[in-house]
Amino acid sequence: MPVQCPGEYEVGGKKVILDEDCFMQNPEDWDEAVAEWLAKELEGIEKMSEDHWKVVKYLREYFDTYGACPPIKMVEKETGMTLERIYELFPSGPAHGACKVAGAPKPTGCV
Amino acid sequence: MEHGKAELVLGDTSHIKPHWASPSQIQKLHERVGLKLPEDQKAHFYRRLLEEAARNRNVAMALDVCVHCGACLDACHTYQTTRDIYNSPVGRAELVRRLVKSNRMSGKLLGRLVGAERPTDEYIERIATYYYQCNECRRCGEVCPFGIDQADLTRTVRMVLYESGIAAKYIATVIDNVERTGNNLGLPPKAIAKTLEFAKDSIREEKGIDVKVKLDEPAHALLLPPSADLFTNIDTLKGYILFLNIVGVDFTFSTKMIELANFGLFMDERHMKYIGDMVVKTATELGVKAVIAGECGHGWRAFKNYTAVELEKRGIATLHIFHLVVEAIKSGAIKLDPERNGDVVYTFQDSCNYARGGDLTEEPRFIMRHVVKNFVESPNNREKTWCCGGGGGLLTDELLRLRIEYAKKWYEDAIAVGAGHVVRACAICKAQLNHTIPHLNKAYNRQITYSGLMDLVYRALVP
Repeated sequence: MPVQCPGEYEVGGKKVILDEDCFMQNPEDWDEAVAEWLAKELEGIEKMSEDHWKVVKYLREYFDTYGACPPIKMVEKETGMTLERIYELFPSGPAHGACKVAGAPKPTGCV
Repeated sequence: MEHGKAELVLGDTSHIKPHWASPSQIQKLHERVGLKLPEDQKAHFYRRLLEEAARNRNVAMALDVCVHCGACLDACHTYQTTRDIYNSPVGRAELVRRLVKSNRMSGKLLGRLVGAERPTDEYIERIATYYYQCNECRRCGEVCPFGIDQADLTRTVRMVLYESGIAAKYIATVIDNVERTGNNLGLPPKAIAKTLEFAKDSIREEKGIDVKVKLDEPAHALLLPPSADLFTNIDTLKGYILFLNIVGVDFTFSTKMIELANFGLFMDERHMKYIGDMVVKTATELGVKAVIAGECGHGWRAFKNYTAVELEKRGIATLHIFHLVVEAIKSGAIKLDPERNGDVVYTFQDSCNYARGGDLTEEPRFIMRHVVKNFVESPNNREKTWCCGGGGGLLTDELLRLRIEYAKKWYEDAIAVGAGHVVRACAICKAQLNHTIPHLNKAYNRQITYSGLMDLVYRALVP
């Protein structure tokens, strides 16, 4: 049964609340097990590689520090990955894919 | 149905809808502008629509002066790319006309025989669906022999829908963000500071000069970009910063208001004014003498027609960054090297709100000619420009299928003149191009790229 959005799920004892766009509505409950589940269910990533974690951990740390997702150019520079590489890792891209796996809210506005 | 993947049926787009805002979300927005959710949604919608039809001359014209000549059908990309008659200027107006008709003698006597419709839940949702498929681009208004501005009808219908408790979730969320945080993205002050530092560092690395970037400090001018320039369009942002530093304009950003976009224009004028007033308050408190607008089409329209008027009343000058760039080129204050933008063939495509009523068509062209070697005009240029397909608050994932279809008109224009790169100086256009170009390039087997205009100024500038 594929994940339905919006919806509520339980992952490793944690409740995961997804909005219409499948972004977590309770980012404070995010952990690495939740990230693996989000990656698998929403981005079709069977197993998170080292590069997947590099991007997700960078995004999560940035989100915890600054309260938002970083600009895409900053993600490229700080992780040393090209935009193409990020799209290879996360098919929906940095904002709609990687930020989602990192448990950050959906960037909205003219983006 | 899978998210954002609605099938496109030629001739019928009635099933493609935005996510609707929840009552609690609308209630929160209502409270901010002194509204209250009506107890009877249907009765309120019907009463207010009849009121607007009687009171608002533009609505009366759209409903009673239109002779169904069809000129707008040829001009409208939403109809041209979907062939659903209700997804067109005249067709959308017809949905409203039928409702108004049920209150007139012929409708009361003959009902559906004369096309009259009663305000049922289903019928109101039908109106909402089609009115949220309009980009409010005003290309129909440009060709209408009677001068009917159907986008104005869209704005009125959406206002009455909003009063009744119906609005697109995307637009409601963006309006709530900017009214709470001073930007559409909801960026906290420290994220803004971090991004400006990043831009500054990049300029040092790429251009070899140290630029000054003020935040919340007294200055001559307040720079007002769309907040998307702090997220996806960093090269546009660097363009403003480098240019203003080179010409010596003392400017600051503000964490209180770092947003030129004004989604109030897409939903309710009360919110448009609320957001515009936030700019006025910020500029007044900072004590600036001028406010400079960045690259944002609809934001420019709301700014020019409302916010700028309020600012000028208070003795604060208002202008677009392009005005300053043109002035600097004419006076020789900057050195530009078009070589730096390569051999690519560039076309500049106007954003709707610059070209139709925005009075900003020649400035960007003047700049284009100085920053690139190969500049070609698209067939539909200036006031004839095609909408990017994301305007009017349609820039949301669940409408992507429709947006890709809408985008075909400008994309084919670019192909027609052999352009490899499309320049659009608007954050909505840029976001729409970012999401639709990959699909279009695949479908048409091309490699077309896009950017803003200050991005090209940035590259061409010789510090």
